[in-house]
Amino acid sequence: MKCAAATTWLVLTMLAGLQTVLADGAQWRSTAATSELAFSAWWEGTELPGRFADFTARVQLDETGTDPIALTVEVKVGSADMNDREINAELVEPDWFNVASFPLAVFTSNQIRRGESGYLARGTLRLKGIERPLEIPLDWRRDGDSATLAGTATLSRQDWQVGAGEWASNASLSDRVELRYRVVLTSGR
Amino acid sequence: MATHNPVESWSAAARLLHWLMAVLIALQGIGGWIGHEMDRSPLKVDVMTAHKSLGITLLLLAVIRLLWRWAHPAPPQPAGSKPWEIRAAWLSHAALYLLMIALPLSGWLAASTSLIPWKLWWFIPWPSIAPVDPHLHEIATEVHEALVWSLMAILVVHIAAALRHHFVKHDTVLLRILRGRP
Repeated sequence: MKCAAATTWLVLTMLAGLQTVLADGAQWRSTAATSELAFSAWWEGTELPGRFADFTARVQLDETGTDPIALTVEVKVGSADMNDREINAELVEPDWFNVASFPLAVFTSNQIRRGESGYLARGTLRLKGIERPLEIPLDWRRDGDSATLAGTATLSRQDWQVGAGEWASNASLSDRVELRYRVVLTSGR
Repeated sequence: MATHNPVESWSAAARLLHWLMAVLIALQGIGGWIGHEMDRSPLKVDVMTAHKSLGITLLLLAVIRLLWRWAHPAPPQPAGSKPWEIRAAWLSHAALYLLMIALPLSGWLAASTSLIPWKLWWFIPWPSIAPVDPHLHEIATEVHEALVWSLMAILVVHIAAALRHHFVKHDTVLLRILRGRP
């Protein structure tokens, strides 16, 4: 009983601490209208482009306001749009994004380091309830109260079981999925 | 193979094109219907690739056939045909030739406006005639399906007329497309 109370107190203190960090003011948020999160897969060598219409990104900068130190991206996977009604209808199915059970994909990273060019965010992507490590390059440019975050990342659809069941074979549909992002953020101060 | 029509009948080339296309159009109809009824799956993609490939093949055959028909006059209508019969025959055959072009064209448009990629017989990259566009795709698909119903209606008339010629009028119209000589 005492132990449970102590644990509860500890958790609450941590949450409060986390909230303080998040409310610290150096929080940047994406603006929906000018941000873009696109993806491509390949079917028998032909590129199939698509995009997520609905997503948000939050970036935490260090105290000096120069380097991003944390990133959270939330994607409503049901907003995947490949400009084809039949494919869009298929993407929400359990074999693909399983939108009914897992409406949100979340990438979080609080290990962002400078790479050779730009930054590299090491974090985890939770998609379809599967959590796996993912490293994505970030090109971060700040211009006063606005900033852009851009880059291209490659991931394996099999790691998150996107395209399962009958679609699991890589013979026709590539395992490789390319993500392209160009996010415009404004300071949330 | 003789390509010139004997005076009163169809040449071997004309008969070959007629029956080859008849069989392929029947297969095309069945395949398209099966593909339409299937749930989305990799197999459905393959069934539809076959349908698109056969459709383009039929379009090329239809063009050859129209050119052939343009170069070689059709055998005359049987003696004693009534004016309405001649007009009905002309109209139904014109509609058939038109549908043999319009059906694959509308299918090609439907395939082009969809994102789903395909190659002719899984092998030859085939050009699109329009950019990917969900709205245009829907229109093309609806037109395609409407044309299928038109084709079926005209085929009923076509087959009924052929049987009427043979069994009711006892002329050589059916025989000359079957075996060439009256």
